[in-house]
Amino acid sequence: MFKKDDKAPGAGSTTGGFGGSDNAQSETHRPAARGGSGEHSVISAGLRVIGNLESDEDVEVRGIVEGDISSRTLTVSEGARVEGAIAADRVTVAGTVNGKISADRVAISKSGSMIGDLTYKSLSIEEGASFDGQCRRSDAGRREPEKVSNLKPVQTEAAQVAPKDEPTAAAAGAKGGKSAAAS
Amino acid sequence: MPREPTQSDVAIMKPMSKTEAPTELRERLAVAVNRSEDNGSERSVLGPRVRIVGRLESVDCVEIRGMIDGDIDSTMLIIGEGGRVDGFISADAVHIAGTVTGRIEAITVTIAKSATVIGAIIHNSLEIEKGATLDGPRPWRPMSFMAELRPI
Repeated sequence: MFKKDDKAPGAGSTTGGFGGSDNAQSETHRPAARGGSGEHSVISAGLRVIGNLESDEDVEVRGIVEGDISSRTLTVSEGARVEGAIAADRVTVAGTVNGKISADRVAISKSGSMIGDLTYKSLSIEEGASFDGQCRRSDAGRREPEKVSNLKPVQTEAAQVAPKDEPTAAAAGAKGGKSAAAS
Repeated sequence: MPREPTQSDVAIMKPMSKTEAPTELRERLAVAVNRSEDNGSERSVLGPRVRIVGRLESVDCVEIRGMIDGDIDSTMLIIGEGGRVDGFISADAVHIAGTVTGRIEAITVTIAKSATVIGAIIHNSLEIEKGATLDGPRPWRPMSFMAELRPI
């Protein structure tokens, strides 16, 4: 399991794994059957995520994420929007980010727009890009920023599993009483 | 852990009506499931190492191979093998090969043998492969009812 099999071309250059934040079973080599793109996650243009996303693989956002993202590499494509804190090894912004970024390598391309603070080790901002915020260089590179979004885990459980309840008569009565009193 | 299923499955199951909508949806779903090898462009893919705590709203096809802790509203939803969803699912068409805990409301639902579903499945068209693990009521509903749940 831990054997370094092939001389993975170029792949070894990045620091393999990060922090101890994840109980990653070190470097699962993706099965060839998936054509290498198996672990590459895509939030397509039609998808909106309201909540926090965590991954230790590559993530590409083409849609909207309202919440924090933590991943290995993160690409915010043109037209995409992220509102929240981003922590990744490498971040490319070609869309809009409103929040914070903490990453080893940050690149804001000319179509990109970033509002918020940056913590980086290596930074590139292309001409035409829009950036409003503070930059701080840190040799420590990626650090988990304070969370911007304060979403809590969604309550799913019994309420969802059990069939929908009818609106209670009591609630309806209370409403009716109130409106009657108002008029 | 579904709370006392209020309706018994058997009593509520009726022969399927011959509306076109579920048939067409089912065909589209089958196509979407089978081309999972090459990533189509208009498809969201959440890989096995992805975890989302929160809500998903999609007008594209969404394929989930990771973990979602929250509700999903999508046109087409594929929960791949190893994928996990804890939450309420509302979609036009759903294919499940992973694990779902929560209520599902979809016009067309197909369930593969590797699937585990705990919760009610409100549907107009349901296909279950032998070997799937299911717990909960699975009431059939006419298209008029589904249209109210999911205005098109």
